[in-house]
Amino acid sequence: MFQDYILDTLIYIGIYGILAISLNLEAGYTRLMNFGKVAFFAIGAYASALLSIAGAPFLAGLVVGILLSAMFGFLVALPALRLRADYLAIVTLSFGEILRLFFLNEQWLTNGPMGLRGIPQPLFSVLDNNYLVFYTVMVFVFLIICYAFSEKIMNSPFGITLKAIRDDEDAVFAFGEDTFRFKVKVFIIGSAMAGISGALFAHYIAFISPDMFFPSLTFSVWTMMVIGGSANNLGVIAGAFLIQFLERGTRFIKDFADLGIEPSNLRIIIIGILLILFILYKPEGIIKERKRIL
Amino acid sequence: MPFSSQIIINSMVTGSIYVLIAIGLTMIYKVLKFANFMHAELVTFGAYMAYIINVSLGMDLVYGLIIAFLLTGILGIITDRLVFKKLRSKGSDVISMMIASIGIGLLVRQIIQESWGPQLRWYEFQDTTYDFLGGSITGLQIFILISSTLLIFLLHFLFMKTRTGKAMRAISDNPQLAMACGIDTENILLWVWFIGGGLAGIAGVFRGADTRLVPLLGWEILLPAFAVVILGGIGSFYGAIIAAYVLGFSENIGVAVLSELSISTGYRPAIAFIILILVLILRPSGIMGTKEET
Repeated sequence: MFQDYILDTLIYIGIYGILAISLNLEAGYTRLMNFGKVAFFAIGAYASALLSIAGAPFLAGLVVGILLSAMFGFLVALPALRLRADYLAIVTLSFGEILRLFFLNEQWLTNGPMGLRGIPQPLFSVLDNNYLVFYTVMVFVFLIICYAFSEKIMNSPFGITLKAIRDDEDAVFAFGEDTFRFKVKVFIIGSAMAGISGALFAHYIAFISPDMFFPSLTFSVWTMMVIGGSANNLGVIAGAFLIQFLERGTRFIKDFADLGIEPSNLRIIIIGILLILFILYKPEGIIKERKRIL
Repeated sequence: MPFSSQIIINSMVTGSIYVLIAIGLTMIYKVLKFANFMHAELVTFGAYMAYIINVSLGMDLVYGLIIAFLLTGILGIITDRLVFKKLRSKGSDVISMMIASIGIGLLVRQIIQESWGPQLRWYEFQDTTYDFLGGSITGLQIFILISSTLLIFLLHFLFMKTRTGKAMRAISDNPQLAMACGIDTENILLWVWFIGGGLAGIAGVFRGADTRLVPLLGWEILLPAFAVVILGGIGSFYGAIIAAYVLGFSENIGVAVLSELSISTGYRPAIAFIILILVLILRPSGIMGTKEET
């Protein structure tokens, strides 16, 4: 039982870790305000779940989930990325809310508020006893791939240009780089990665419904990034660990002591306070960005 | 029948509420340069403060309205003193301010949810319904229409004729120049927060009385409020007024069209989103904004 609990925790840390890395690519390294991260997570989850329920293999669902998330990332980025940073925040936040309405209203496709049940779990029948071990390993393989990929592109000329855009977009533009293309590309990559995370989430819990994709999820990922350390991939994974620890902690306390406060409320209150305190007093987060000197 | 007198009445009421929210949002946006996502929670906060006065203490809703104005204005000032002023003095960028505003928003909303629970609540007041050109209008709605019109004229007077109002316009046009002219920026900012917050509080009471109270009350209308601000042109008082009624009409006509086409009216928020995207593509500076804003 205890082992299962640990594995379950690790799976969530992995899933949110991937999401935090994807946000870090956009927001940490490039300063693109994606306030609708949950939308791309949800697209990955729904696309992959629907295909699997229809009988497609897990990997096919995953790939389609990634492609759809990337495509919507492109479509959302297009009108907003040319404009001021804050417009992207408003547009992405709104997009996430509209998408949630779509999942809620299009019952023929998503079963509306009742959600999708019985999402097939890959290789479940083969592995039944060791399933959690298998899933943990799988999630961590994806986490490591995303981490390595993110590190690689951030140390490539592409990534260095992104960081330069963050620090001084006009200067990069003056050097003749099409900064808009760079921003669109990183936004597509970030969205695709969120799609992976969403698919892993859907197949793990085997049931998804629109009320799992509230904007508060986006902001809990933001908190992971801000407290862990923007523009540091290890930092944001540490952030995912801390927030998961906090989430479990608030649920755990409920069994032992009566705090007189609903654990789900307490968790979001703490997330709000952490965001404010870190932005005010430790904006670089727990693990700072490593600045490369050329 | 998509264009009846009932739609005109509903649109005017919706527009009047949006005006009150958008004026504060656009002022803060213009002066402090960031999208204040916690503005939604000021709306909710005002609604619940009036609930305390009206239901918990059993007083008339008009007293609730006045208290909501004062307390929400004060909450605006407090958040500025505790968070945004510190960020300004550290020279933090607008992105940090937006993240901080999200943090405060989560905190305020979740404290409200913890205090009053997620259930729907209603104010206690007598209301009469009148026939009006084939439609019906409630006494409350007449009150909303008249008082928001009065508030708009009052604000017009404030901006044009008083020293404080002129200083506000000076600061939003050119903060450095305003400071060089000896305007006490920080002092004027207090007024911006107080008036902006107070109006949001009033809007919350109106919305709560016209529909119902719920912790997501403000959050539900944050997207249309941003659409109003951007359509009107950031910082434009008159632009916001026109845009608020444009949004009011678009939403109510849109909902009528949706039900004609037998599409779920749950898509109401999507109408604001479509307007927002169209404005960003076609005229990102809004109706009355200046080109430099984008």
